[in-house]
Amino acid sequence: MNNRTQDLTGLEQTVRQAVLSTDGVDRLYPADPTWRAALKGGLALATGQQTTPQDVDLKVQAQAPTVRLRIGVTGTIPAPAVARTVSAVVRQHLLEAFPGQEPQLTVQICAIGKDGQQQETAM
Amino acid sequence: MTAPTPGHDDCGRTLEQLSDYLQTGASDDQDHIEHCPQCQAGLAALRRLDTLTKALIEDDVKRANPADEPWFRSILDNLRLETRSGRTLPLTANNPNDALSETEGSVIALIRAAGDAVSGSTIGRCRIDGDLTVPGAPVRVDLNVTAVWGTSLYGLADELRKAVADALAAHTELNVTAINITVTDLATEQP
Amino acid sequence: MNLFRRTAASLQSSSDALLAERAAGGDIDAFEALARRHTPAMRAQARRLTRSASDADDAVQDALLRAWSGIPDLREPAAVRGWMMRIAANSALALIRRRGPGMASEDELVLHPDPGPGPEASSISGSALTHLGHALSGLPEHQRQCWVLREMGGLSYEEIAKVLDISETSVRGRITRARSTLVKEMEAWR
Repeated sequence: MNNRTQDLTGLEQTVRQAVLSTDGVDRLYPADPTWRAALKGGLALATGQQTTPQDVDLKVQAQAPTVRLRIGVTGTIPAPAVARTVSAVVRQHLLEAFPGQEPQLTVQICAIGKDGQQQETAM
Repeated sequence: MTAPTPGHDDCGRTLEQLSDYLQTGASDDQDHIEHCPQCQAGLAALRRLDTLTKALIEDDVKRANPADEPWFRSILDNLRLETRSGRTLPLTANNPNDALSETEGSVIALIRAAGDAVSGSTIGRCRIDGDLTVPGAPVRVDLNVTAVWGTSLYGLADELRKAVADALAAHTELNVTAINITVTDLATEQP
Repeated sequence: MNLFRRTAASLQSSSDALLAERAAGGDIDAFEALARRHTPAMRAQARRLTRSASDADDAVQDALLRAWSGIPDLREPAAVRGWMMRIAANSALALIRRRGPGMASEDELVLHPDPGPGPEASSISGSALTHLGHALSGLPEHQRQCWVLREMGGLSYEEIAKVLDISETSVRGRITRARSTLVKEMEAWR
């Protein structure tokens, strides 16, 4: 079980780096928007309590590896094209890691163009 | 239960009556109030309190400016991680096992940024009308703008339409049938 | 194709309505500009209500989160200031209820600062302000709350009644008694 977890962590890192190096990609966003619910709940949670963002949500199921990720694009390359390129890149890495298992990918763009005041969070 | 103002036991008018008179400028008792020395004294005292109150509040507010205090910065930074998503716009994938999309929030922000790049106005409210979750469905963009005094509004509308149309053509797969621009306000300088 | 992202600083002179419309559409910079503009008043109100600087900050944080959450549903963007003040009032009062009775005044210094020279270009002395502040703190809590919501929050009697869950008549009575006490104290001090 530990080996498995280690493998996945390594793979997640590889995928993360590959996505970030793709032309037109600005950054990754937390994969699961429900972290936001923590912000809404109460007073104490407002300041600096960061949950660790899950940039690449990677599940290996019986049928196929599943990856969900959310990205921001720079705007220099059309967003739809960037989404397709990212999925191609991720697919390639997953097929290498799990040969013969067709990956199921979800890529969502949640920002187009760089934010002037973008914070560099631990991504 | 009525409360008398200082030195006011004589004429029997209440603080509340004087207060109301100060606020509204009128009273059923106007004749008396305007000629009674005690009432006039009471009014003067109330006016002094009001002036002092205003000054106190102004002072309170000035002292309460958080500027760049860490707690204030931190809450804004946390909110920045928010991406107000809205609906999901589908994008065409090459592989049937892929679900590609962009958020409505990202497209709204794109429209705003494209519109703001046109000088002479600032984008306000921005809506996409239509079922944008369905590929190819006709949608309409509605924009409110605040324009700068002296800008030619027709020229501005044309420029805005072009800028927004170009941005949407490049970054979405939307079928945009109309871009409506409404100038809702004017400003003397870049709003 | 050009894209131009307005920063909070560049939006400083935009109207409340414009900022509120943009914030409703997800523009965080516009929300930051609104926050910078109105947080001082929200915070000043919260301080006079909670009588604690740290509690006031907690209440304001809560209020800003709620404001960000709720601004897409704001029907009148131009009225955003009053709306934010009401949210801030509710946050402060909720905190006071949660905190329980007799838990105030840890930060009295904040509310009674050393008298400075007083407001510029006026005949009002800093010590007059301090004295009014003292008189305010000395009011029974119910009267002070109504007074703060009215004078600092700008709420109508009806809104105050709703927020405190009391009758409008009670609100009127409390404010009258508060003003009466304050005017007597300030005249006596003069």
